[in-house]
Amino acid sequence: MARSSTENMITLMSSDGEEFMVTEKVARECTTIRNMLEDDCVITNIPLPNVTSDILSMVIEYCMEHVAAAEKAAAETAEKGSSSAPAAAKANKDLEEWDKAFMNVDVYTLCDLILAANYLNVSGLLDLTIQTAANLIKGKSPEQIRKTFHIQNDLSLEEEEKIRSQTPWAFEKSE
Amino acid sequence: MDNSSRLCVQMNGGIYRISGLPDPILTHILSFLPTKEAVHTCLLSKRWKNMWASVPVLNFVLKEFRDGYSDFKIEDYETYIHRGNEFENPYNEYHDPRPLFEWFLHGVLENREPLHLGSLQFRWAPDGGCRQVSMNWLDDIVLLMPRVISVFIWKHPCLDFPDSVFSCTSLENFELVVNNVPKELVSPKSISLPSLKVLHLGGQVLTDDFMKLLFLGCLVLEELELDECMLVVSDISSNVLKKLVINSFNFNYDDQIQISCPGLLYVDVCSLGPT
Repeated sequence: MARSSTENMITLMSSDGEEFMVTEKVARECTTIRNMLEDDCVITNIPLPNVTSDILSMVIEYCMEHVAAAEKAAAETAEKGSSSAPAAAKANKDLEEWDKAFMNVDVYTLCDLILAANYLNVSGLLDLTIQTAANLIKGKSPEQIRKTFHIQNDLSLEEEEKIRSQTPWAFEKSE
Repeated sequence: MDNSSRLCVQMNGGIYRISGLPDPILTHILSFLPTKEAVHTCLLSKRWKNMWASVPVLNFVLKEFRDGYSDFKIEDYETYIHRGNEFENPYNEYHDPRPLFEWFLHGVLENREPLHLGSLQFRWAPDGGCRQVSMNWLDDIVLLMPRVISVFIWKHPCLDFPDSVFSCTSLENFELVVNNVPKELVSPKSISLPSLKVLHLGGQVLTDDFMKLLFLGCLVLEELELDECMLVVSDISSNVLKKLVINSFNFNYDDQIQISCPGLLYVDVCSLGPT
């Protein structure tokens, strides 16, 4: 990513001690960090004890891609005076494709990304990961959902029967 | 163990499974599912047993309440109807989804946590013998103070729509789209939607009287979209409207609709003569 030398750099430190240097603009994609920067503008080193290095590097990758896309759109608008609708639509589609490819992760990584996006308050990434998790549940039987997400079934057969009999409206089929 | 796991969620290098995510995140995930599927997650494990009850969204897709629905695709249905076929279920023997839906709806409303509702979505393509669509259950939904109500109905023969929705003070975004020859579906005696910002109506006959009530009762309405409606309207005037999209036809082709909305930032009006 092209960056000017005058741009402020921030160091983010993961829970396992790895340091990531990012531009302030990228760091500000995380509302949690933006609020810290607004409270204390000279801060340059931010420890993130809740995020591991592999997850943090993914969050940064996501933020960099989205900052770059927004900068590109802004530059095009400035150049032509107004943004052309087909170009903007294509850029949006490209970013959607990128997001889709980015979500090609296992369910453990997905859950870690949801937690990190929630903690760092990256709204775009939170929406993306939550929607992805919902899509993985959609159309599946309870057994298939358990398998997909490695959920341990701690309900005994009796307990399961009890739930079914207490909520017949949820499971009954017509004659 | 499952109950306590949410208290010790930390991303310190461990592997976290979906059941370890905090409640608000799990209910957020479930809010993207049809309510029937969200309720069915109660069988996953103890952690999930009551999770659906706190989901702030109700999302009803009526084809789920019909047997044999798994073969049913809305696109197929529309192609089928467009070929000029009348009401005849091209799939299995017809099952009326309404009784099962009503039973399910009451079950949900009685058993969910008493939380305000974020949004209600309702989708239905009636077929077979059910020509009457009653939406009077929306009276109960309005009591839950929803912010969004979105109703899409394909091919409705007859629709009962309660006036209570037009006095829902919490409502910010309201969509009522019926994919059919326009009919006069809603004619509330009064309208009071003090929070309404976005309104999308489709497939309806709208009169000057309705428009007057609308702008009197929706003082913060910013976006209005009228799709395939029949307009018996001579003017649209609002001081607060910012976006107006009309893709409808005017009943009296020769009469022009006067639009006086000084605040408009976006207009897309495509009005056709009567067909």
